[in-house]
Amino acid sequence: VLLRDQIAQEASALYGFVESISSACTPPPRSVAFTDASERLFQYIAALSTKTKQYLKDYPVELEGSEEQFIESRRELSTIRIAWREIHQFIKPAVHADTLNQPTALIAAMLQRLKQLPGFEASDFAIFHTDTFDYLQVNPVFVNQAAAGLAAIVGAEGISKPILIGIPSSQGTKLFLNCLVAHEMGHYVFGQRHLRPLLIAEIESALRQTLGNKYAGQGLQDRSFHFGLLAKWAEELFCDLFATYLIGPSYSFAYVELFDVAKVSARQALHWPQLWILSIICILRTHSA
Amino acid sequence: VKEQAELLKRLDWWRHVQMIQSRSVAILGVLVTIPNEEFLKIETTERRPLLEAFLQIIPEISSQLGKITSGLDVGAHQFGNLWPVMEQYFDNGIVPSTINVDVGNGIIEQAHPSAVTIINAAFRYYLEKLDNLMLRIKNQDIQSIETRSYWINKVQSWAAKALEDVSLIEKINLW
Repeated sequence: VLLRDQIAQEASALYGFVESISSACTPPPRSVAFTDASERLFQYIAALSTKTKQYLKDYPVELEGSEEQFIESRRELSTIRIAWREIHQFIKPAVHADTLNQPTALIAAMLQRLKQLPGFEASDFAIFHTDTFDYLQVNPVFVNQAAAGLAAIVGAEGISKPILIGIPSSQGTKLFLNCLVAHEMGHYVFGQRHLRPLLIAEIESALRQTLGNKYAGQGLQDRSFHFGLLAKWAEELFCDLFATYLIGPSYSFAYVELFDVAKVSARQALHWPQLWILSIICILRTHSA
Repeated sequence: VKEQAELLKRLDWWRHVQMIQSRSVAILGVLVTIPNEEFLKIETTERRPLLEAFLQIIPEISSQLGKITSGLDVGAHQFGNLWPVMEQYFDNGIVPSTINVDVGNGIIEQAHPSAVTIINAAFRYYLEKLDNLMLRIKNQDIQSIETRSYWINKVQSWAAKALEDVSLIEKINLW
């Protein structure tokens, strides 16, 4: 049996794979209530699933073209599978984030402020639960990129989708720590406003200045590593500052509490001049008392 | 975190923040006094130039943030005006979504705090005023971790309810 004869088999397997993933939210579960954004997410996944299955049903299985065409065809099936694997991670966590298990009012309030910014009037976020306690590590852009790639292949670009935002599953209804969700909205804004390309020149120039000849003489891999690191720091700082602007000092208070900044500051103070150690210790003692 | 504190200063939040008696605020207050050079000193030789480069691009990040958020009300002014009344509402266990403000000469005006005011008032109350609430309620031990935790959750749920109410009022006003 030639490998190219296996295309029908592979497309069928992929069809079943997509069907099993999307079945968790087609039709959306009705035993609990969901926000409009979550409902739209489920509808989006259902529509994406329908389009994918239709695309696979019509997939050309008897290839008569060149070897390159066959390889390209295999690559496309692989891309579809990878995208659905990516989407799979978010379906059950999104189904678990019903209105009783997410800070609906807080998210709506933050979203309402975001929508006041030019270009963000139509923004919408669906919440999903994360198993880990990593508020600031859940970047919604990755799954959106996977979904966008898939949509381009199966012809579903026109279907609008809400942006996904992750919160730790145990903190569903808490108000204070969930102020950190504003940081994730910052990632969305950073991506939508294409800020990374805008910062490229600044980052390059700063690295040249501080690393000097070392930067100029670096290989592509090292330069790319340093550039990537700074770009990441820049994005994270933007998200922190955006969140601070969006909801005020509550963001900083939540941040200080969750990341135990007092402890970190005290440890770093060991390296600072005596003056700083004294000032921190005095103030912390006063307030602890 | 230092940059967050710097931003709070630029946005006029600081005069409200610095009055809060809390360790979190003390940390923010100390961080803004530390010159950036001190952060550079504690880095390894390898990482120091990277942090230095990072510090150089912060003004551009701030500039981009300014462009994106220009026109969006910061919310500090309303917070400053309404906090004293909001505090009383929390003291009495009342959801502060529609509040009566004494504007002088015996005139009482009704106000609906913004979401930013509600969130920050609730957080401030949690950070420094929880004892006030607990002392007004019979048999509450302010040293009991379990009891404090219960009332912290209560303050959060009142704030969440206030956010829902305000959102509903805004929707109705649009109809």
